[in-house]
Amino acid sequence: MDNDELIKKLENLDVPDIQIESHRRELRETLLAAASVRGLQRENTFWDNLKSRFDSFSRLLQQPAWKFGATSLAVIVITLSIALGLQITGNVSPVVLASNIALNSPELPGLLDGNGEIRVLNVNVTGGTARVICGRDIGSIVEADVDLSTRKVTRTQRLEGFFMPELTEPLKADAINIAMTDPRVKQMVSEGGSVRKVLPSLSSLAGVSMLNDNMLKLVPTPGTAVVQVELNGKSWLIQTNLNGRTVERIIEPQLRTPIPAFWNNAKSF
Amino acid sequence: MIEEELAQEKELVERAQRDPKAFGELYDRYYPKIYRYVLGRTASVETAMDITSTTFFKALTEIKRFRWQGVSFGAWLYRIATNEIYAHFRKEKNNVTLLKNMTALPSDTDPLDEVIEAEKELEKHQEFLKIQENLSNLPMKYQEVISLRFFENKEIHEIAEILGKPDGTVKSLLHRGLANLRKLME
Repeated sequence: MDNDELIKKLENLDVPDIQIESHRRELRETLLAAASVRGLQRENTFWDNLKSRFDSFSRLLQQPAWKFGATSLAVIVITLSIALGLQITGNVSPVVLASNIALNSPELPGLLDGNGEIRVLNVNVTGGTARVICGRDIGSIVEADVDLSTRKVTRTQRLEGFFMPELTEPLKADAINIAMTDPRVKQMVSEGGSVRKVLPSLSSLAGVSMLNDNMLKLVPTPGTAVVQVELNGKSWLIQTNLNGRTVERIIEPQLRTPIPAFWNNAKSF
Repeated sequence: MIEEELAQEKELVERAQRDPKAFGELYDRYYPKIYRYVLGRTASVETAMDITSTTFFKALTEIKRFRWQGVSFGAWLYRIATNEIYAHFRKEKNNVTLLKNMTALPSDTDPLDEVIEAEKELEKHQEFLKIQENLSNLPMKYQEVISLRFFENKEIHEIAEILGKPDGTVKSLLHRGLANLRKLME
């Protein structure tokens, strides 16, 4: 085959023009929601005041939300305000207010087993009440109803079988490969251990999706993944960093609480 | 792109830097092209979804810093996608293949029907897949120019804009790339 024949072949090639409509639609929704909330947050007076007071915090604010490794701008505001003992005032959105009230409620830590910081995963505001869903990096999920006028949590409930975002097969394989670089994991496998499940940890939820004016949702990005390795009836959770390609920590089975049922029942969305 | 279209796009980009809805218009315009380009480079429906997502996330993140200085928005998007494809292949190359030692992961989720259908549709393009397989064995610099030229029907100056290289370099890469591809196919 000479050059001209090859060029002709390439020019006449039937290149596949396949589209995944659901992916196109969901990605659009996610992007626009993230862009909208970033715009809203930048106009927030409380946000601007905080930015001017703390240089390090303002440097963080220059980064896009999903580079934080999984906290939304709203969560950062909430986390910092809690750390400073500040009260979020009325010019903050109901979503941020509800999140703050839920995270500050005394009953929440007791309901949330597992490991890592407590994070807000979803807030749905209807009128004067909000439903806030919180969880730790690895652990159970709790739903809290918040009365925005009294600023009190009126109901809490642990959720079982909560829907978590699914990692793609290549990312799951990647997480397993990363886990296997750790000598402790290799040891487990050599003794007969096997991978039970691979899911993103809650800390890999990043970016913001605003479905409408009242709903804030955190959207996953590839960042971290937790590989569950089972050996002799016990489970180890290996938290991997997919970007840095490192094993961040191994959570051993002698936790104070067992692996939550939600983990084993986790479905995907 | 003709001048009038270019002017319209420029105005749209400026709006998108302030208004998310305008970014949506840009997204609608370029998603099909970027997804098709990435699919053509990776021959994997799911990988193309991942890389397309990352491309648009990066574009949204960086759009405020985008300046119309010799590189059109479309070319900029293609450039991001090209870099993401490169990063993806580099990551794959460095993977330690230890999966054979592991028990197979139980599959408790079904892929979307749409993805399954897309994969079946892709399988029908056997001639394309064969060429793509040969192409994937070439150095990245040749893969980029050949796929942009023949899969995306870009002109030399457009490819040069996307890759940030002079026209002459692109022509040279294309010529050598095709020669190498021909050898692989024989």
